[in-house]
Amino acid sequence: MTYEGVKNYRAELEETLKRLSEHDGVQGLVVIDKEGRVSQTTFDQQYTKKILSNISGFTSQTRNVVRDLDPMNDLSFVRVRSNKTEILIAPEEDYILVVIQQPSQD
Amino acid sequence: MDHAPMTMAKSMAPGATQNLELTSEMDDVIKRIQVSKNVAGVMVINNEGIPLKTTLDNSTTVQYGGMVSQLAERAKSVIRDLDPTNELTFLRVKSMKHEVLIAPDEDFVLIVLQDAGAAE
Repeated sequence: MTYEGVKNYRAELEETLKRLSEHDGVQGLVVIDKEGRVSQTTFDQQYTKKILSNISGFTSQTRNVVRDLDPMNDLSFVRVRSNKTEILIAPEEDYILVVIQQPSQD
Repeated sequence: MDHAPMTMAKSMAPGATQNLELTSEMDDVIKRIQVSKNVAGVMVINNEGIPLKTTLDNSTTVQYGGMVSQLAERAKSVIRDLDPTNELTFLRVKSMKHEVLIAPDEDFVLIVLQDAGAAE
């Protein structure tokens, strides 16, 4: 990718994340890179740290459970629902996208 | 999948967690979930990871039982750590091949295994 290409990619990414975070009911989002560091967040630092420490480990454990049960299978999505929130976890190859929103009406 | 099973379970006679009686009501609820086209199996696992009821074979149940109920415990503490006043109500783990729906309750966990492509 050229320097221009990277800049455009970055702008588009931030645009998409902004749009996502402004969606109805969304409280915020965090993007965790493959080194386990936060690359984007719309939450304050304290809460982001909590999310990072809890969700990274939980996602790994969940992925391990899936693979342990069937080595040919892999994790594609997780929804953790609670009284006050719903946490959506999209584990991708290079990052984990975490979105926290109000619990959706089922 | 609706949340009727948990309501059913909670309205069961209060009693010892040791000998949890699965009334015919709960059996009916499990049957109702099970006949859903995309559902491969339904399991009820107690807090020790021991299966109380299952529509799947023994080895699948034992495999899932332990790991999934541990995962549910982990999810519970994630939620509480982020907000001590909050509580886990439901967990959905989607993989390429299936989706596992996990409904935790005080004394046990209800686990439904369904096809990955199944509708909400």
